[in-house]
Amino acid sequence: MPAKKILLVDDSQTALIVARSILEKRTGYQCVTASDGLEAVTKANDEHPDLVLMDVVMPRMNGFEACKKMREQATTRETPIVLLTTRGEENYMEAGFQSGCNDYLTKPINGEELVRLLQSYLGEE
Amino acid sequence: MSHRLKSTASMSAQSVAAAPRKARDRQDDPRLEAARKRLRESVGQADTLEAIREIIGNLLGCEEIGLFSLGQANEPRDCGLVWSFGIDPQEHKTLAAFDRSALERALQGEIHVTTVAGDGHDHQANRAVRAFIPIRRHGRIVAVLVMVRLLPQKLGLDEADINLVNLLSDEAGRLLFDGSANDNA
Repeated sequence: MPAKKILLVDDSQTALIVARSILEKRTGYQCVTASDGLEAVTKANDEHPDLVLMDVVMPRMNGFEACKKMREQATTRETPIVLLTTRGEENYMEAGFQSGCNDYLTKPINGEELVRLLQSYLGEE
Repeated sequence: MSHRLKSTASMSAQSVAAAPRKARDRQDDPRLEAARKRLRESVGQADTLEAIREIIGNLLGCEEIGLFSLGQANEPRDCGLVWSFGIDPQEHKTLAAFDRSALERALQGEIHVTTVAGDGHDHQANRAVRAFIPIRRHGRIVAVLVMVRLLPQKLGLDEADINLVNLLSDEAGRLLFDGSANDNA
């Protein structure tokens, strides 16, 4: 069975390194990365990830916009999208859900929480 | 290098014991590995500052940061703001804007985490966790990095966080203030 593929999207290299390291050490997931929303939309279309883990505040295209675009693409319409941000306010999270995301995680990343959430979406609990 | 961590007695209680960690444990923390890699691969002062912002924002949970360079007298009023993120520079021109006793300890080389009353302007009205980090260059303290307020969902700094803070304390000064360090751009 091929490894599940996760598209990690963040403009912070540090955040990408940490997320990739956590997922590759604790799961068998394959990680691909993008550094902004625009690149993420293209990469999601090309790579067909099983799940997208995406930051919100990014240059060129933010996570909300990228999420909307992915929901418009046939290839990514059903792909689980988890948004990741420093802001946990209710109205901010509501905006995330309106953009089409499935779930929300706040930074800083908690490795156990991240793995548990992704596994729940990928049917590996 | 290890640093002692103490709470500030005059402020409400929030203190994290910083027990020494084994080298093996430190290497097992993906956040510490990532932070070290990001810092060491930073190119030039601007990129090092960006690395510090990324580490503090993404890994420690703080988006209000000030870096204050030490003056000749090591007096808080002589320590000027040289870089900031997410705070009003006009309100934080020098370290004198902060609690003096906490600063004195930071200037003595101690990493300090304090809990202070919030400003009442947002949902974190009742408290704010603040950290003072001495920045060393060749063993001498040359600056103080202040994490002015942790994000609301971040309730304090745990042992793994303190390892990250220690990394910044030990390595950021050389990268920021040695003109040639990593300055390959």
